[in-house]
Amino acid sequence: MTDLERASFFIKAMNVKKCRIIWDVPHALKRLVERNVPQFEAERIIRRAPGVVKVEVTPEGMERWRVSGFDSDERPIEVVVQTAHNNSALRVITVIRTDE
Amino acid sequence: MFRTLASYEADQLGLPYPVTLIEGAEEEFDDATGERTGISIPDLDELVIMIALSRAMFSVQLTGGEVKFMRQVIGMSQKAFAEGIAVDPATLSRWENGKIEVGEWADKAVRMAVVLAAPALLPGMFIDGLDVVKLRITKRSTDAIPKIVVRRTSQAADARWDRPALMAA
Repeated sequence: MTDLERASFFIKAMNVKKCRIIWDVPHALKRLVERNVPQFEAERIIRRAPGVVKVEVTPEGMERWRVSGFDSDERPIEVVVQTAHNNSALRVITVIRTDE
Repeated sequence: MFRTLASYEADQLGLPYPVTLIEGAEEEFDDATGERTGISIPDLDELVIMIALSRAMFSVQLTGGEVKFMRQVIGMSQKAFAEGIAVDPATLSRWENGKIEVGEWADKAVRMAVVLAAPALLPGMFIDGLDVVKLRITKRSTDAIPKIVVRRTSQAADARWDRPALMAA
Protein backbone atom coordinates (compact mmCIF):
# COMPACT_ATOMS: atom_id res chain seq x y z
CA MET A 1 0.00 0.00 0.00
CA THR A 2 1.45 3.39 -1.01
CA ASP A 3 1.41 6.49 1.23
CA LEU A 4 -1.42 7.97 -0.88
CA GLU A 5 -3.52 4.82 -0.66
CA ARG A 6 -2.97 4.61 3.09
CA ALA A 7 -3.91 8.30 3.56
CA SER A 8 -7.02 7.88 1.39
CA PHE A 9 -8.05 4.81 3.37
CA PHE A 10 -7.56 6.68 6.66
CA ILE A 11 -9.53 9.74 5.62
CA LYS A 12 -12.43 7.63 4.35
CA ALA A 13 -12.47 5.68 7.62
CA MET A 14 -12.47 8.94 9.62
CA ASN A 15 -15.35 10.28 7.56
CA VAL A 16 -17.37 7.13 8.22
CA LYS A 17 -16.98 8.00 11.92
CA LYS A 18 -18.03 11.60 11.12
CA CYS A 19 -14.86 12.85 12.69
CA ARG A 20 -14.64 16.42 13.95
CA ILE A 21 -13.15 18.90 11.46
CA ILE A 22 -11.12 21.61 13.19
CA TRP A 23 -10.17 24.79 11.39
CA ASP A 24 -6.76 26.12 12.33
CA VAL A 25 -7.10 29.72 13.51
CA PRO A 26 -6.43 32.19 12.21
CA HIS A 27 -4.55 30.78 9.21
CA ALA A 28 -7.05 28.35 7.63
CA LEU A 29 -10.06 30.62 8.07
CA LYS A 30 -8.15 33.56 6.55
CA ARG A 31 -7.23 31.48 3.50
CA LEU A 32 -10.93 30.68 2.97
CA VAL A 33 -11.71 34.36 2.68
CA GLU A 34 -8.72 35.12 0.46
CA ARG A 35 -9.59 32.26 -1.88
CA ASN A 36 -13.30 32.92 -1.83
CA VAL A 37 -14.23 29.39 -0.78
CA PRO A 38 -17.14 28.90 1.66
CA GLN A 39 -16.26 26.76 4.67
CA PHE A 40 -18.97 24.21 3.89
CA GLU A 41 -17.66 23.67 0.35
CA ALA A 42 -14.20 22.84 1.73
CA GLU A 43 -15.71 20.47 4.31
CA ARG A 44 -17.79 18.77 1.61
CA ILE A 45 -14.57 18.04 -0.26
CA ILE A 46 -13.10 16.43 2.86
CA ARG A 47 -16.26 14.47 3.61
CA ARG A 48 -16.60 13.21 0.07
CA ALA A 49 -12.87 12.57 0.02
CA PRO A 50 -12.49 11.77 -3.64
CA GLY A 51 -8.80 11.27 -3.09
CA VAL A 52 -5.62 12.30 -1.37
CA VAL A 53 -3.26 13.62 -4.02
CA LYS A 54 -0.18 14.32 -1.95
CA VAL A 55 1.32 13.30 1.38
CA GLU A 56 3.75 15.78 2.93
CA VAL A 57 5.77 15.55 6.14
CA THR A 58 6.24 18.68 8.27
CA PRO A 59 9.60 19.49 9.89
CA GLU A 60 8.02 18.24 13.15
CA GLY A 61 7.41 14.87 11.52
CA MET A 62 3.63 15.24 11.17
CA GLU A 63 2.01 13.90 8.01
CA ARG A 64 -0.21 16.29 6.05
CA TRP A 65 -2.55 15.16 3.32
CA ARG A 66 -3.81 17.17 0.36
CA VAL A 67 -7.43 16.22 -0.31
CA SER A 68 -8.50 17.16 -3.80
CA GLY A 69 -11.96 17.90 -5.14
CA PHE A 70 -14.20 20.43 -6.82
CA ASP A 71 -16.58 23.04 -5.46
CA SER A 72 -20.09 23.62 -6.82
CA ASP A 73 -18.65 25.82 -9.60
CA GLU A 74 -16.35 22.97 -10.58
CA ARG A 75 -13.28 24.89 -9.46
CA PRO A 76 -10.46 22.54 -8.39
CA ILE A 77 -9.70 22.87 -4.69
CA GLU A 78 -7.20 21.16 -2.43
CA VAL A 79 -7.69 21.06 1.32
CA VAL A 80 -4.57 20.39 3.38
CA VAL A 81 -5.35 18.39 6.53
CA GLN A 82 -3.60 16.48 9.25
CA THR A 83 -4.96 14.16 11.88
CA ALA A 84 -5.40 15.45 15.41
CA HIS A 85 -6.50 14.29 18.84
CA ASN A 86 -5.32 10.69 18.44
CA ASN A 87 -6.85 10.34 14.98
CA SER A 88 -10.32 11.34 16.18
CA ALA A 89 -10.27 14.66 14.29
CA LEU A 90 -8.95 16.27 11.14
CA ARG A 91 -7.28 19.65 11.35
CA VAL A 92 -7.56 21.89 8.28
CA ILE A 93 -4.28 23.67 7.73
CA THR A 94 -5.09 25.56 4.55
CA VAL A 95 -7.26 25.63 1.45
CA ILE A 96 -5.76 26.02 -2.02
CA ARG A 97 -7.42 26.90 -5.32
CA THR A 98 -5.36 25.13 -7.92
CA ASP A 99 -6.87 27.15 -10.79
CA GLU A 100 -5.35 30.41 -9.52
CA MET B 1 -9.22 20.47 24.72
CA PHE B 2 -12.58 21.74 23.51
CA ARG B 3 -15.29 23.96 24.86
CA THR B 4 -18.63 24.94 23.34
CA LEU B 5 -18.92 28.66 22.64
CA ALA B 6 -22.03 30.35 23.98
CA SER B 7 -22.08 32.53 20.87
CA TYR B 8 -19.96 32.54 17.72
CA GLU B 9 -20.14 34.79 14.66
CA ALA B 10 -19.61 32.45 11.71
CA ASP B 11 -18.47 34.65 8.85
CA GLN B 12 -17.01 32.08 6.45
CA LEU B 13 -20.24 30.28 5.59
CA GLY B 14 -20.50 31.87 2.16
CA LEU B 15 -23.16 34.42 3.07
CA PRO B 16 -22.31 38.10 2.66
CA TYR B 17 -22.83 38.57 6.43
CA PRO B 18 -22.08 36.55 9.57
CA VAL B 19 -24.48 34.10 11.18
CA THR B 20 -24.69 33.87 14.97
CA LEU B 21 -24.39 30.32 16.29
CA ILE B 22 -25.69 29.80 19.82
CA GLU B 23 -23.91 26.94 21.55
CA GLY B 24 -23.11 25.71 18.07
CA ALA B 25 -19.36 26.14 17.57
CA GLU B 26 -16.62 24.35 19.44
CA GLU B 27 -13.37 26.06 20.30
CA GLU B 28 -10.16 24.08 20.54
CA PHE B 29 -7.76 25.71 22.97
CA ASP B 30 -4.24 25.24 24.21
CA ASP B 31 -4.28 23.68 27.68
CA ALA B 32 -1.25 25.66 28.80
CA THR B 33 -2.09 29.13 27.53
CA GLY B 34 -5.87 28.96 27.09
CA GLU B 35 -5.32 30.43 23.62
CA ARG B 36 -7.73 29.47 20.83
CA THR B 37 -6.07 27.13 18.32
CA GLY B 38 -9.02 25.98 16.25
CA ILE B 39 -12.74 26.19 15.55
CA SER B 40 -15.10 23.38 14.67
CA ILE B 41 -18.74 23.62 13.61
CA PRO B 42 -20.43 20.23 13.94
CA ASP B 43 -22.89 19.21 11.22
CA LEU B 44 -21.94 22.20 9.10
CA ASP B 45 -23.65 20.86 5.99
CA GLU B 46 -26.95 20.50 7.80
CA LEU B 47 -26.54 23.99 9.24
CA VAL B 48 -26.11 25.68 5.85
CA ILE B 49 -29.09 23.81 4.40
CA MET B 50 -31.23 24.95 7.34
CA ILE B 51 -30.03 28.53 6.85
CA ALA B 52 -30.73 28.45 3.10
CA LEU B 53 -34.22 27.06 3.68
CA SER B 54 -35.04 29.58 6.37
CA ARG B 55 -33.76 32.42 4.23
CA ALA B 56 -35.90 31.09 1.37
CA MET B 57 -38.98 31.43 3.58
CA PHE B 58 -38.06 34.90 4.87
CA SER B 59 -39.88 37.41 2.73
CA VAL B 60 -37.23 40.13 2.34
CA GLN B 61 -35.89 40.32 -1.23
CA LEU B 62 -32.73 38.24 -1.85
CA THR B 63 -29.38 39.85 -2.55
CA GLY B 64 -27.03 38.49 -5.19
CA GLY B 65 -24.74 37.15 -2.46
CA GLU B 66 -27.63 35.22 -0.96
CA VAL B 67 -28.55 33.78 -4.37
CA LYS B 68 -24.96 32.58 -4.74
CA PHE B 69 -25.03 31.03 -1.24
CA MET B 70 -28.27 29.18 -1.97
CA ARG B 71 -26.96 27.88 -5.29
CA GLN B 72 -23.75 26.65 -3.65
CA VAL B 73 -25.67 25.00 -0.80
CA ILE B 74 -27.70 22.95 -3.25
CA GLY B 75 -24.47 22.14 -5.06
CA MET B 76 -25.18 23.49 -8.53
CA SER B 77 -22.77 25.30 -10.83
CA GLN B 78 -23.71 28.74 -12.17
CA LYS B 79 -24.33 27.25 -15.60
CA ALA B 80 -26.56 24.40 -14.41
CA PHE B 81 -28.50 26.65 -12.04
CA ALA B 82 -29.03 29.33 -14.71
CA GLU B 83 -30.36 26.67 -17.08
CA GLY B 84 -32.56 25.25 -14.33
CA ILE B 85 -34.28 28.53 -13.59
CA ALA B 86 -34.25 29.57 -17.25
CA VAL B 87 -32.06 32.66 -17.11
CA ASP B 88 -28.97 33.60 -19.05
CA PRO B 89 -25.83 32.53 -17.12
CA ALA B 90 -24.51 36.08 -17.60
CA THR B 91 -27.59 37.44 -15.82
CA LEU B 92 -27.11 35.04 -12.92
CA SER B 93 -23.48 36.10 -12.71
CA ARG B 94 -24.50 39.77 -12.61
CA TRP B 95 -27.00 39.05 -9.80
CA GLU B 96 -24.38 37.18 -7.82
CA ASN B 97 -21.84 39.95 -8.26
CA GLY B 98 -24.37 42.57 -7.20
CA LYS B 99 -24.29 44.35 -10.55
CA ILE B 100 -28.02 44.05 -11.05
CA GLU B 101 -30.89 43.47 -8.65
CA VAL B 102 -32.69 40.12 -8.51
CA GLY B 103 -36.22 40.59 -9.86
CA GLU B 104 -39.23 39.30 -7.98
CA TRP B 105 -40.05 36.28 -10.16
CA ALA B 106 -36.40 35.26 -10.28
CA ASP B 107 -36.18 35.70 -6.52
CA LYS B 108 -39.06 33.24 -6.14
CA ALA B 109 -37.52 30.78 -8.60
CA VAL B 110 -34.31 30.72 -6.55
CA ARG B 111 -36.28 30.13 -3.33
CA MET B 112 -38.30 27.39 -4.99
CA ALA B 113 -35.10 25.65 -6.14
CA VAL B 114 -33.85 25.53 -2.54
CA VAL B 115 -37.17 24.25 -1.21
CA LEU B 116 -37.37 21.55 -3.88
CA ALA B 117 -33.76 20.46 -3.36
CA ALA B 118 -34.02 20.31 0.44
CA PRO B 119 -35.55 16.84 0.95
CA ALA B 120 -32.74 15.23 -1.05
CA LEU B 121 -30.10 17.18 0.87
CA LEU B 122 -31.63 16.78 4.29
CA PRO B 123 -33.93 13.79 4.53
CA GLY B 124 -37.00 14.53 6.61
CA MET B 125 -36.92 18.24 5.80
CA PHE B 126 -39.94 19.28 3.81
CA ILE B 127 -41.41 22.69 3.06
CA ASP B 128 -44.50 22.97 0.90
CA GLY B 129 -43.60 24.71 -2.37
CA LEU B 130 -46.96 26.41 -2.21
CA ASP B 131 -45.66 28.43 0.75
CA VAL B 132 -43.08 29.95 -1.61
CA VAL B 133 -45.76 30.72 -4.16
CA LYS B 134 -47.80 32.48 -1.47
CA LEU B 135 -44.82 34.42 -0.11
CA ARG B 136 -45.12 38.20 -0.57
CA ILE B 137 -41.60 39.42 -1.32
CA THR B 138 -40.86 42.68 0.43
CA LYS B 139 -38.43 45.21 -0.90
CA ARG B 140 -35.09 45.38 0.86
CA SER B 141 -34.11 48.71 2.29
CA THR B 142 -30.67 49.88 1.18
CA ASP B 143 -27.79 48.03 2.85
CA ALA B 144 -30.17 46.16 5.16
CA ILE B 145 -29.03 42.66 6.02
CA PRO B 146 -31.02 40.06 7.90
CA LYS B 147 -29.77 38.96 11.28
CA ILE B 148 -29.62 35.15 11.41
CA VAL B 149 -29.34 33.35 14.74
CA VAL B 150 -29.16 29.53 14.96
CA ARG B 151 -29.10 27.43 18.10
CA ARG B 152 -27.69 23.93 18.19
CA THR B 153 -30.19 21.48 19.52
CA SER B 154 -30.05 18.06 21.04
CA GLN B 155 -33.77 17.90 21.60
CA ALA B 156 -34.88 16.35 18.32
CA ALA B 157 -33.54 12.98 17.21
CA ASP B 158 -33.64 13.94 13.54
CA ALA B 159 -32.24 17.46 13.77
CA ARG B 160 -29.04 18.90 15.09
CA TRP B 161 -29.84 22.58 14.55
CA ASP B 162 -32.95 24.50 15.45
CA ARG B 163 -34.70 26.38 12.69
CA PRO B 164 -32.75 29.62 12.28
CA ALA B 165 -34.35 32.80 13.53
CA LEU B 166 -34.27 35.62 10.99
CA MET B 167 -34.85 39.26 11.71
CA ALA B 168 -34.95 42.14 9.30
CA ALA B 169 -32.16 44.62 9.96
